Amino acid sequence: MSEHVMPERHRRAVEALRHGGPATPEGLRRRLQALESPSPEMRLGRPRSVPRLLAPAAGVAALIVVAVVVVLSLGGPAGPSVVQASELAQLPSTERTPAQDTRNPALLERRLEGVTFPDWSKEFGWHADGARTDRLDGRRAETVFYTHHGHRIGYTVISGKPLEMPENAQIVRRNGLEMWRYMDGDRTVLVFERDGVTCILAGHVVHEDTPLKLASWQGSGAVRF
Amino acid sequence: MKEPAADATGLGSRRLSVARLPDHTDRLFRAAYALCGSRADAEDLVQETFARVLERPRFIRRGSDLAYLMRVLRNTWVDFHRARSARPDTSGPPEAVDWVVDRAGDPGDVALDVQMAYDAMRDLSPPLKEAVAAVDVLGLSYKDAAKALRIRQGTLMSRLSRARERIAAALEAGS
Repeated sequence: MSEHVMPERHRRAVEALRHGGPATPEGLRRRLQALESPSPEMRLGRPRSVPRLLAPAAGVAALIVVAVVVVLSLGGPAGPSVVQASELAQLPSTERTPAQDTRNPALLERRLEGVTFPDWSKEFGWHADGARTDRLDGRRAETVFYTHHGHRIGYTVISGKPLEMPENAQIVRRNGLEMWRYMDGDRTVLVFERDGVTCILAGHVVHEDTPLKLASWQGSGAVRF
Repeated sequence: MKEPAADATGLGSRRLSVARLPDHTDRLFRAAYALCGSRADAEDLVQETFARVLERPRFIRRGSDLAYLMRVLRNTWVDFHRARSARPDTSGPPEAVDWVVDRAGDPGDVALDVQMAYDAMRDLSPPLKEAVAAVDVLGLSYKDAAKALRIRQGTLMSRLSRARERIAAALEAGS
């Protein structure tokens, strides 16, 4: 502990937690190994108690498969481009406005892959105003539109792996959230990830700071990243 | 907390390596156990955390693997918690757990304390558990832990202090 002087009374507790703990069950290790293999039944089903003993040959095969996964994950862009996805914010809404989450006023009753759209009405005066659902290169994309004094922005969430960030974007950080920002004509486009899912906020605003404030707002922890 | 300078190049980022995940299994399982207080739940939590990371590979800062895993673990735990509170508790008695001490040499006293310390964590509130799991169990720095939990560093330290105080009191009472 070098970050600050720890009260002597706490040292015993910290020592215990830092230097010991429950042993990892072997069954869990085997299931995690199996998870790393991209065989569809294991990746999609994620069975909780299916022990999988890897024979040496299977172990070698698993290593090869893992290597392929790593190579693929380092490879080129997958799915639609950010520019493509950001253009959804310019389209008309086709679905009704999502309601406010009755249990949590910082959120709307709409989510995609665990990412819930925020409700900015109380904090910033930006009101949800319609929504739409699209498919881009086989990916589901959900957009909620927000308006404020005649200005309109779209918040799009794209399912699946994160999209490649555009090369001409500037990286900015606010409230611990890393965002990629670029201009598309008079529109500001912000790209960021929430729980590993790509989100895009795009629209014409008066103050260039506005999208940053909106995107990084955490709603007292309700809007998770 | 000072806001980090913008990185216009993004060169400090890379994708989390799948091959490195097994290196973190032990520490992650302990953190999960610290949060859940049950072996079965901790196993589920770690498995789901790995599954989420594998399904959604993303860029992270160099050396921040554990901080990122802690964030996913915490978010997954919150989801579990919500799901569980919405249905009746059907869990049976807690499963047996083997306890290990890392340090070579004696630490007889530590060995006795380990289980008591984890037991004491069951009585902590979720925010206090998260602070202890991130810093004392997973070994993150205050800065990384605060970032992973999306709280200010001062808040983290305050929670950590309160949590340690309660665990220390439990250890004293038990010895």
